[in-house]
Amino acid sequence: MPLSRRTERRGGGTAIEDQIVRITSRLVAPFIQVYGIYVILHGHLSPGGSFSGGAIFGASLVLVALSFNLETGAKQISHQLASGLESGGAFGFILTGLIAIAIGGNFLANRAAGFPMGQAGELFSAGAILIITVFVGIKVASTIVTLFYTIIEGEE
Amino acid sequence: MIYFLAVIIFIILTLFLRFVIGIEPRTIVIFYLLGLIIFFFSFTVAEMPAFGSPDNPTFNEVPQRYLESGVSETGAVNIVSSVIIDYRAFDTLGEATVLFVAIAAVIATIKAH
Amino acid sequence: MNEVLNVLLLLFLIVCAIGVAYIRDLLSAVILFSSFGLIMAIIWQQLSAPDVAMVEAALGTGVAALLMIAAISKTKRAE
Repeated sequence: MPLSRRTERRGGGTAIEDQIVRITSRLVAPFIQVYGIYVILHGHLSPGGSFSGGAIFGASLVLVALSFNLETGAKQISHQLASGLESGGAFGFILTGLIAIAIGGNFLANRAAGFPMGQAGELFSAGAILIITVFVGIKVASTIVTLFYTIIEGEE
Repeated sequence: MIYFLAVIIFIILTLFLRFVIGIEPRTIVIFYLLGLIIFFFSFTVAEMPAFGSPDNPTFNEVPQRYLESGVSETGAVNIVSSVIIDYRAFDTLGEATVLFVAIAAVIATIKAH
Repeated sequence: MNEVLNVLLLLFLIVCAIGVAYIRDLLSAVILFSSFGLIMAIIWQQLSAPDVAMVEAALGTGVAALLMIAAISKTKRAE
């Protein structure tokens, strides 16, 4: 059985189906995703944060779609779901700022608006910072996935 | 004395470039202008404050406030995160808007045809 | 030691940037650009900015190269 062979892709171009690349990316992708979630959730404790964690998570999804094919990648996260998550991330960001107004404070206020602060250094602390970090991380990850799918599927 | 020597070297270099190597006068002028620009750039870089020095003009009361009371005011141990998501959250909202506009522009450009 | 490492990294950075501009094969140019991003990430780490280093390592090295490879797969590989 040959290790790699050329097959016709749906868009007309050829893709190299390489067994080494497939098995390696299937093995590595979950670890990259867990690392991305870790970077997003620990944004207020350690270096990193929403943009880098979201980029790591989105890159793992793109890696799976690139080393297998588009159908396998779309099984993980579909195009519609990625677009919805992207709008939802931006919407949640603004909603967090509006909630701060509703419970008494300025737009995007944190301690002054009365978000639960917790103990500094714990995972669930820092009030609105954790919420906004998660929303922006979701938005960045889905932006990368949407960009990749748009460029790959374009002009059909 | 040193200026006299510099002018002598300048004239000899110009004559060498023009008549020995045979470069056009226009190219020689561009060559000298580029050298002047590089000279001023390196002069500017030498005048810049040292990296990480405590008497930088940027080290005033604003980063002092962040470093001293950032943890107690925002609850975040990572000071960078407390600045970009609490003190300057409105800038981050603008950054997210830039991302949103970029993806909308890509979809409008590629999917429209 | 640290100074020597910084100067070496900056030299590699300049070589990578000039190589990206001069190379003819687009896929090789993308890989050189991705190595440019990796060296840039190490330089950010040397300048004690780990946040920027992580963003550069994820976006500049990974995602930008992936998107450019996707764009190359839709067009021609040679310039």
